Amino acid sequence: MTRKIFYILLGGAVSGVLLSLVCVNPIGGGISLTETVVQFSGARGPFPMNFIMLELLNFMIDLLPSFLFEMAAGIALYQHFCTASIYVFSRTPKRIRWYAKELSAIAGMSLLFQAVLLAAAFLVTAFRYEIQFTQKGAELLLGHFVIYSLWIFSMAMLINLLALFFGSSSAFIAVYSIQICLILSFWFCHFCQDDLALTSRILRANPASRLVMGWMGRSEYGNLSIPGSILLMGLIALGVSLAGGWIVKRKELLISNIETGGM
Amino acid sequence: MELIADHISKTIRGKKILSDISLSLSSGRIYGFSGRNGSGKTMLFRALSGLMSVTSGTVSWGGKILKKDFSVLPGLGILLENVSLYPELTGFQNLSYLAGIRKKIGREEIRAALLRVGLDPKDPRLYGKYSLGMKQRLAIAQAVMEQPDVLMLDEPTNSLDDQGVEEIRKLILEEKQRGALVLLASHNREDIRILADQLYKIEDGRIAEEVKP
Repeated sequence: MTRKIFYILLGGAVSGVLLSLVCVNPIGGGISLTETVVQFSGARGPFPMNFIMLELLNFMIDLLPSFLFEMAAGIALYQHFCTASIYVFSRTPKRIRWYAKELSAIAGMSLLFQAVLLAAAFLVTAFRYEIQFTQKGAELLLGHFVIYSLWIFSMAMLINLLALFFGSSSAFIAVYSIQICLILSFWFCHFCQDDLALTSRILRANPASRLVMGWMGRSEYGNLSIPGSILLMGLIALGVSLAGGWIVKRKELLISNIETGGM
Repeated sequence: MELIADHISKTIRGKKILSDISLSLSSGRIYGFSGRNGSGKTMLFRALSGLMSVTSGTVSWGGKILKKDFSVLPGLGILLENVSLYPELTGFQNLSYLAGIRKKIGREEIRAALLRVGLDPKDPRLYGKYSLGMKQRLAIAQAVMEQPDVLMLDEPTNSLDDQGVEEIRKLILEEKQRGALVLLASHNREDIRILADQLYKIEDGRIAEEVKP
């Protein structure tokens, strides 16, 4: 566990440094806290991310730290089923209790990773520019932390659960594909930008829109709210967690090593 | 205490894996199970332990029914073929993690279990770097470390040298003398001949023959 925590701290710190260097580029020597936070999620300067393909692809690059975390945590639960699950479950009839403990560990890793990433990003930004504190910026920062933590937790758990049925390779491909499709689907809003109601419906239906902090509170981007986004992400996380509990409780340990099909 | 299987069967995707098996097994004895690969020995262990549910029939331990009164045999120690431990942990750390689930034993017992199977408790090597023989010894250690009431061993002498085989046979006899109910699946006829009080031959998921060796 200590080694895992070390790698999470390292990964978060390096990601945060790179995120700041790559994404934060203010005009002039200073930058507001608001602008700093939105630039971590697709904004370029004071302008929020638009629906054009180039910006969407850039946003996916901004999400690389999240993808990397999901890669690391995506087998945290699954690895038990590949290895010693027989020996674990032969010792406890209360699989749910064991699952809750593992779930908490993954949740803790998500929070830790996101906290370290943002801390590193802000330290580097503060070293390069003067950050002006704003109330809205503080709200966005907190929202960014909670929303991204819930998202990477949910995606990591989804990979774990799909891997129990289809193996890790298929699970990774499926979940990364889902995320890429959700982000690229914003491109369709490019064609209906003049219809605010339709754009709003499309963005509200797509959970990935909550990752773009620059869209919060803007009418042309669905009037998304931070509390509403946290609620949605929380529900997704809760749904995945409950599904996981149900699967872990019922899954028959027929295959000792899912990767090789060994019994 | 008695472990009783009453007409248990298991079907997976239309294929009968276990077929109408009935057993009555008592503590303080070693029961051998032999059969070719795929005959159902491992599946039988999974069914008797509660790690796999049965399609029909019941398994009971001390009068209590599996899946009704409890979901997994209490006081179970099990070793199954092709089940590995955590490659990123040392032997001691692996056993500590498993011991932390029931919290019945501490560091001293873990150390004793490792010494009993011929492993060094202070070995800093990770499980992923172990030889096959060392992995087998560690798997046996995790099965016996908590002094189980029921000990299921699937091919325990696999990958062991002659000395290792002797040591593990001695360990199994010690477990029997301690009063554990020992189920032993093995291709090794010498293991069965030396250790088993009673032998069951498994063929196509059913008991083909019952023999006193």
